[in-house]
Amino acid sequence: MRKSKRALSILELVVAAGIFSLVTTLVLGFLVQSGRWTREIQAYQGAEQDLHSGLERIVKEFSQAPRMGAVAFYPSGDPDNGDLHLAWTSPYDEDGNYFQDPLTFNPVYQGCKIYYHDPARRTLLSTYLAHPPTDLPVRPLVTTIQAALDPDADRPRIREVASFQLLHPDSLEPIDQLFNPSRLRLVLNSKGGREQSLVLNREVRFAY
Amino acid sequence: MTLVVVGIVVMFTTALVATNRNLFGFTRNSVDQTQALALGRGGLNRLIDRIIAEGNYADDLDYGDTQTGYNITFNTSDPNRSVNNLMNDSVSPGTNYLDEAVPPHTADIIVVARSNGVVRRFRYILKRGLAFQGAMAANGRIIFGEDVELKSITSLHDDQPVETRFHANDYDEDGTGVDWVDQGNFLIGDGCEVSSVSSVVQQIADVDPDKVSQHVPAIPVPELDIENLVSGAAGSPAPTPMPDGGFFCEGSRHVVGPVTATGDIHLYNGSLYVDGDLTIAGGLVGFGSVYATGDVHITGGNASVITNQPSGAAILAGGDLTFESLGAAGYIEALAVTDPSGVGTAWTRFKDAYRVLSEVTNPSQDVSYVSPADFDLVFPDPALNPYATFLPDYLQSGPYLRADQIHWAGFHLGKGNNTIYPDQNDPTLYRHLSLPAPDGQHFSRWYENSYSRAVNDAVVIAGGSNPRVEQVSRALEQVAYYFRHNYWSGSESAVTCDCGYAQGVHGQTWDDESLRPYADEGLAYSIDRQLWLAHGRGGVPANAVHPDYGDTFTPNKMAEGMENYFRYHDPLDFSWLGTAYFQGLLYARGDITILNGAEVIGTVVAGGDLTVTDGAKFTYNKEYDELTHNLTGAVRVTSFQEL
Repeated sequence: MRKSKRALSILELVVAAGIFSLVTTLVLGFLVQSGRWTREIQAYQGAEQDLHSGLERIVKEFSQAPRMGAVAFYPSGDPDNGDLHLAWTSPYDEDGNYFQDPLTFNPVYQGCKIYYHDPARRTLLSTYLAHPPTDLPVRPLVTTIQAALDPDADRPRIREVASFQLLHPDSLEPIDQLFNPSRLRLVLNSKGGREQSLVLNREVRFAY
Repeated sequence: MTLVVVGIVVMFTTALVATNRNLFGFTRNSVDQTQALALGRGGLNRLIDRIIAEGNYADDLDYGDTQTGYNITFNTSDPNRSVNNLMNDSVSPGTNYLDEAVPPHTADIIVVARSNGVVRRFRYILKRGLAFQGAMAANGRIIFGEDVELKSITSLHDDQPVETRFHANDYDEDGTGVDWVDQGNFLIGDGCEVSSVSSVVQQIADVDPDKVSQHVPAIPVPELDIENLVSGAAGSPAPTPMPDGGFFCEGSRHVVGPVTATGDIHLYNGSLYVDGDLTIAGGLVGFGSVYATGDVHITGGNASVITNQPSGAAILAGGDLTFESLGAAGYIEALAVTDPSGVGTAWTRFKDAYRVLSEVTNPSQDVSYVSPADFDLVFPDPALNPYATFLPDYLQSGPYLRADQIHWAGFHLGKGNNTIYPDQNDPTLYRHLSLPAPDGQHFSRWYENSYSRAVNDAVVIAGGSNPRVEQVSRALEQVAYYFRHNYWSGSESAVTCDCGYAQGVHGQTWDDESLRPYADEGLAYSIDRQLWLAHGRGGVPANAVHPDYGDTFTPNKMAEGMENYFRYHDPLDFSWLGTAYFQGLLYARGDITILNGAEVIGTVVAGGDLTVTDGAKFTYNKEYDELTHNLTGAVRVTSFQEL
């Protein structure tokens, strides 16, 4: 039997080219999309890192605060607004040096550490307010804290912050009251233009 | 084609994983950080549990494996070594991880925690005693009544205020944690703060908003295992009975209740363990601790009359605690009336004198003043004595004015006149009254007919060995001292100024312009205005006009002056005696109730509600933080640091 040898018909070529184009378009589209996804994921990753590292820092420092020397408040008066201001007296000075009474080993408090969310800047900032050394954990006054804040000069810690709140340890409702343990919630808008919020809750337990 | 597509997918997946590997790692690291922290806390809790059971515990504690777990070591050569010096009264012989000696009653603990390669080091400073850094705390609510005064001092010898809190952990259905029956005054002193996990009643918040904090973290109120502590001391000897019905405790003493002490409990660095209820109808003297597994009822106080005494006691009740303050008069009376040595008689005279003086100085008196019927009986003319006689000019003949009578009563209750100088060095006469006054040693030179002297004589009669009599004597000594101290620090009667004495002091004749008694700020009112009106009549002509104030010297003005003088110094307000003081720590696992306007210098910690009726004064004394250092069982974390 003689084997048929004929060229591809135009139709076949068109179909083949169409299939190739389709596949190529799909693959290229997939590649283009994957590039977008990568950028978004990178943005997401960046925000996630900011979220974790930022809240981790706050928790690490705040957990060393004396419970009697801590204060939390919302300048707006409404915890739902997420403009939490968190402050506590600290035995560390601004340079991070720890102070204790050499005779009793009791901490000697050097100043007040403040973390606060500025909704206008969508930024979580921190500052330090030195006060005369004292061996008693003096809780800073709200008025004193507010007078010490300068968003233009204070150190930005996390950007694109949508909300910074205290939560009730059981109900997880936003509150303006510190418990032991307390629970902090930080909400970020992810970078890269994708409409997505990242939420992280962390528990803080005072040791003393 | 399939191969191409598969290849592309594999490349994409690989790229995806590669670009996010940091995120995966970071998330895992975060989890491990948190887990390490939790492990560290677990290690600390385990160690504290061991230390509570055995104060000198110093064995290593390990958990987990090389990847995940914690380690606490007391190996003196380990760079992360811990030191337990809780039970020692001096610094540790060994050193901590910084090569520092650890203070007495302190443990320096390093916990090394690991979680999948994440290593965190935590340092905790532990101390013995209650984990409380404030003046007053209640796991329940705090309910104040009537006049309330909250203050803080550094020590009994340094009244500089220190920061402290008065705090409630619970609240009622209205959300009020700290309440006040709004009757009287509410004073929040410097350094003091009233706080609640919920709200503080608005009336208190209105007093000083900057000194009120609401919605703050709960303060952990410790739950001491008092039953265990008391049973642990079951082998200790019983306390030694005292003649006044109290006990003497040196070292550990144990007794099975219910126990009632009708006199003072004397603590000489001692601890009294009571298996049951304890009632103290008296005071606590000295330093030490009292434990009772049941309820504790205190009627009196540990410095009920004498202020500024170096006493400090920790009273710890497994049940409820009630501190019922006796008024100073009631306290003294309770001591005096049951005494057979004659003090009761003297005390009765003393009370009568005060009663009559109260009538004379009652502000409701006016120009139609009628002398109390028993004035002459209570305040008779002075009897002759071996040294001199004395009768002020204005009492040489009647009718007596109200100011005259106030003046004379003051001499009776205070010192007397300047012409009587008993031999101060005669040890047989007045030795019991030669107590050091706050402004230095003073010697009593009592007017022969003074009531204080009468009581003192009773002490002499009793041989000075009866502590009950001595307490009455000391109480009256304080009364007398108070009167003297109203003046300047001379030993004269301070109730009034006697011209003759002033002349003697200054070596010149009295002159209203140049010879005013030494005044200080607090006394200027009376010295410069009132006493001018009240001093001996001979010094100021009738109807003379005061050069500074323009007051005309009339009998009524004189009476008004004396009345104001008394009101200013308020010598009849026994609150200066503090009603009953308690100095130290009041702790109860149940409720604490404070009655009759007591004054507490120290700390109050209630596992339940803390209720204060009839007003009260609370003065946080920072030096009493050390009072509970000899407690076994209680261990507190005083600082936490991540290294």
